[in-house]
Amino acid sequence: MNYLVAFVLGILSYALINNVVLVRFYGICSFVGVGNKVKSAASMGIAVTFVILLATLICYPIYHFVLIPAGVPFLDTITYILVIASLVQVVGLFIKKHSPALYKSLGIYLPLITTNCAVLGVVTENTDSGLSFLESLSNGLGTALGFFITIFLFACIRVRLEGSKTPKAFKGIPIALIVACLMAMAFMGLSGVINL
Amino acid sequence: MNQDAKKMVKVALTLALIASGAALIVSSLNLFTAPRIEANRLAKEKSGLEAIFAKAEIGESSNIDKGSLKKYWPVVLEDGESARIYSASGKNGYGAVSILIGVYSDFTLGRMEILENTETYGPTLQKGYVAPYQYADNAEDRAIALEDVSCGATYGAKLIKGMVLEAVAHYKEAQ
Amino acid sequence: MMEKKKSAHFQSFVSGIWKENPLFVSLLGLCPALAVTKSLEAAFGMGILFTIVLVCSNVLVSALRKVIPDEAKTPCEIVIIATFVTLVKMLTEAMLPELYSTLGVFLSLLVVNCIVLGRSEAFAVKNGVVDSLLDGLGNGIGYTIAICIIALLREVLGTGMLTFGETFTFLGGPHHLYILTGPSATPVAQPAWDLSLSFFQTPGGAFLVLGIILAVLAAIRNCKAEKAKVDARLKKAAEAAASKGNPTPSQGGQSK
Repeated sequence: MNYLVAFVLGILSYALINNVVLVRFYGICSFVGVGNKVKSAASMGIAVTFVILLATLICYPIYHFVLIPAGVPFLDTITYILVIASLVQVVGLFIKKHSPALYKSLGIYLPLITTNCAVLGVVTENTDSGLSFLESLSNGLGTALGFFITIFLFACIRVRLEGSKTPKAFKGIPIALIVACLMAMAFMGLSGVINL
Repeated sequence: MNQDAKKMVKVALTLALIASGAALIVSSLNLFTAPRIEANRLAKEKSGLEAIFAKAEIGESSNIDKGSLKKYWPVVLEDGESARIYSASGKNGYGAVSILIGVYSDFTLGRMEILENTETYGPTLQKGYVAPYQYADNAEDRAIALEDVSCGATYGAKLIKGMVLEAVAHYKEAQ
Repeated sequence: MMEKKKSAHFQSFVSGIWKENPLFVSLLGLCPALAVTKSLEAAFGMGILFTIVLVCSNVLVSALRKVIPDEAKTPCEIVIIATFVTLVKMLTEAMLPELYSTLGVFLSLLVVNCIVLGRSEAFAVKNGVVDSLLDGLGNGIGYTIAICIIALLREVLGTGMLTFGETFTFLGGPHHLYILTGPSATPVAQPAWDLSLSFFQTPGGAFLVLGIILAVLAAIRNCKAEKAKVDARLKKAAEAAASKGNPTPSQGGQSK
């Protein structure tokens, strides 16, 4: 029971308080680059969620049962990026075969996920902080959820921004970054909610 | 099909070659850097120990494996009183922290030194908690600094407080 | 011929610094630009390490571009970049442990930095070794300058001072350069006067500073475009006037 509570609290804290985009600064490129269409933002969020989860599940055993017994924990970065890159390929092929419609909407974002810092960031963080399997999983789930929430909210705000009168110099990315600043401040208000 | 298979083999071979070359280079550099990294870590630990109790005699460390406590050093202070320095490490949702805690024989706390801190808000911990504690020059200020923690003012605060309490409890038990 | 070739090399070096600045113009590599810019020293260290990784991987990818089959290009690039990142990471941990712990996970995240992969994918695989080296150097320096500007603003506005020697310990003890606050006896004591806003040290402040810098750059660009437009119109008008029957040199040419 205690484990379950810690797991759920962990997910919430990674998703809302230690938010992946607004606090830990992972995956800003895709956050800014994709985020002006709600539908594509949602697709990107789902794809990243999927890859983060799989990467967490695969990299944990690789690090603890292959790299450490072999005495080469310093090869972690190379191994992880290879795992993530091939994972993205495999997921792409899988989706293409089983659901062409989904592939059509997700397809162009899949290669971008390889260079999304959130995925590599989460798995590196898991090993750097020495998290257990359950904690790694809650980090992965929470980060993915946090990424989805933020990118979706951000896209919704940017749709509204398009119709509003912004100063000429702020049009496009600058005003979007100001919005991200306000969002980061709002998320900062949640910081005392869960005290781990 | 044959063409495809040939291509696949070629691709796999190149990739394997480059990857093994990479592993070889990284491993050989590791032979050079690993001792230095270890030496750095020991030097940091040593300077931390000296910073906690200046001019004190620090004995051999003994290992403990109890909760977050890792090991302790018996210390004989300048005025002949004994004390202990505990090394503790723990983690929470924001990262991992390892610190050295000095405890006097009357169970009051000496200085604390942060050895490692991978938290998202690492500097906040130093500035918001350890520094006010370090620079408090009377017992009352120190108590306030320690109390600030329980409101969750900083992210690693609860974690550090837990480690401190564990260290004090362990010292009490030993006497 | 030689002269021309030299200038082409130089072009690929310079364009990365200002005209195609990877951060301010192409908006790439935003993650470290926001995350490690709390202090100028950390940002400078990040910029240097970034430049090293970018130059090395650019050179090696360009040198191996004829050996690697097309299908294996991207994975090989990733492995090469990851290798250099690991090497740089290990050397930093051994030589500059403070810098290593300040940069933390963002050193490993250089692997997935869009600029490094982007430059090797877009430039190094098509160009010679020297060009790739200069391109990497130009982009690296451009990026370093860009994140140093952000870090300078954030550190001065957020802490009121510049601190040296905290991350680069070989500079000896922390030296403070007080700008927006008076000196204080201990790190926790209230200084005599303090105009800094700690907001700029928080994540929100990072977004705000970058947003405002981009807006200023956009304003400058808009201004230039506007001016060029007006100039062109004036020149046209002057030419029209000149062709109407006034053969003396037109005013438009001089105004430019």
